[in-house]
Amino acid sequence: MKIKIKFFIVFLLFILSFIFSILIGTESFSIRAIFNQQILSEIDRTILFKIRLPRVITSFVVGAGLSISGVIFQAILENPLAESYTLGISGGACLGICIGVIFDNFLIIPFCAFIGGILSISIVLFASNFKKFSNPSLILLGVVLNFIFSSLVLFLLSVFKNEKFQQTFVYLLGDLSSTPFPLIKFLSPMILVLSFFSLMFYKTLDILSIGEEKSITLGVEVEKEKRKILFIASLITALCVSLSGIIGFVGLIIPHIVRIIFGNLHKYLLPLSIFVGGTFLILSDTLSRVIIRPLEIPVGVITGFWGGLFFLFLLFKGEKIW
Amino acid sequence: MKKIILILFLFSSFAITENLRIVSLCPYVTENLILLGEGNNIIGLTLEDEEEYKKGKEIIGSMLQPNIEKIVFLKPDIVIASKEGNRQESVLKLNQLGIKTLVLSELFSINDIFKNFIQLSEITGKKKKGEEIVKKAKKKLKNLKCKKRKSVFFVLGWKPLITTGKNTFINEIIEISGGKNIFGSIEKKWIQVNIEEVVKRNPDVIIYIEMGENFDQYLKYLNNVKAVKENKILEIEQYKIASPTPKSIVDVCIKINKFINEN
Repeated sequence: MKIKIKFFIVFLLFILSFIFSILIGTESFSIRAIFNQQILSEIDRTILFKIRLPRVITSFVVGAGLSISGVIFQAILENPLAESYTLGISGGACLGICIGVIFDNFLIIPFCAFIGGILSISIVLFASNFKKFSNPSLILLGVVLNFIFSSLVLFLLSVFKNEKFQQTFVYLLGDLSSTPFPLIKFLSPMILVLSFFSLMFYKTLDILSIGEEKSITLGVEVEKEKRKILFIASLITALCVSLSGIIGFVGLIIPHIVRIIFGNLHKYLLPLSIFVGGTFLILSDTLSRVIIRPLEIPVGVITGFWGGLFFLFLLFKGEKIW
Repeated sequence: MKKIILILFLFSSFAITENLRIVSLCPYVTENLILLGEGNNIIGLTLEDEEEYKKGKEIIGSMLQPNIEKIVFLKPDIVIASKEGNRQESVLKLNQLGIKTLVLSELFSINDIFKNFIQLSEITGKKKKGEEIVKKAKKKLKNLKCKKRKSVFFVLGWKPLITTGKNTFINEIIEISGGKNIFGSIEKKWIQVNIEEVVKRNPDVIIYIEMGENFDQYLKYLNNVKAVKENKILEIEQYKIASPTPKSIVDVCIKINKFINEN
């Protein structure tokens, strides 16, 4: 009963922020205007439905994808710090983005980002499979990979295209303002489908998060399941990065927040993190659009700032998350 | 992509109207439009534009992150961007929304500046005026004479120390004005160099762009360089180089030429 109410509240918040974000911006509209098309001019309609709606949808999808993959990473690796950043996926994607920028063709940048992300998670997975790295070592490996990738990024940019530094920067801070339509249409459904598909694994995740040894004694084929879920989560993250560039903190913070409010059962954690994460990014992006309009600030700045603040608050409050 | 822009461009040259509503996506475009006398037709420009031009016009965001909603709201006839200053993604987005765009191509030489200027003049229906300005500029550049070539170190930024390689219009400006870029043999655009290398190449003249940087500490390292010893250091206004127009580069060339020719 209680969890149902919580679900309801989260969903309501999501709906409200969705509508709110579509209404507010450079030009703000009233709710009535949306339903009464006659009030809207041609321009208004373009702004509302061709610019703002796709953008809000993108931010929902990316927020949802990043946080559900965060939940999965944290559960599987039994580490509260696991997320796409710390596992090196973002670093690999950065490198991909940078290579795309050097080729000077912005249409291949998302593709390169995807390849880069998949490449780096493959290294991590390879290490976990064949070298039998422990879970904390995997995080360490991810962090080290990130360092290597980011120095490669700086190297490539300074050697080949130092005039492109700024443009690359936009991607590295996350940007939802200029994602091309075809990409949104193509990738968003994929991310959503994968996210909802991963809901099926809630039992495995519950068992995995209590520790590998115990789960072996419980008779779960840990390695096989682990690899499958990890692959899905990595795929989701890589797709998100190709949509929006690198938006930090969402995958780390949202799972923790959801865990604190709704407990540790993945049956609830997974679907809730989709909506909480999506709502979080919708609101962050709206803030980034309106805070100093007509200028925009990179959405990564916002997520990092209030995500980090909230995290600090939790830490000092002394709540035991894990 | 290029084809789309070309087609759009061809279309537009047939349908020239008197008062275009133009949104400029970078100062380079703005400066050139103003030189063409199209300043009044600009309805929106970027944060990076000169303060004096912003009066009575809408700010449509920054060069790297223009506010698409705002641009659509302004109902421009055309949005003009440059390959160098703007992101292709923004232009694509505007195209998809059915807004006519023109992207000025990247600059490698002075001729590219002229070409872009002519293109602008065609699209605004002032081809004659544009060609005249370019013709005048070319003539002035031809008339520059120099007695003796001097080696030049051209500073685009002190920290990090950035200069120009061979493939830029700045390198050409140096050559035309009677100088020789000490890094002119490097087949690149902008390069970051080691200050030791500058000392070694011992330039006769140092030219820098005024950006409000305090560079006294760097000059200390260059104490033994001829240019510093003889105090042959020249300052160039930033906007003239950062947003080059046919007029501004002629100004810069004349200024450098005069400076080099002073014994």
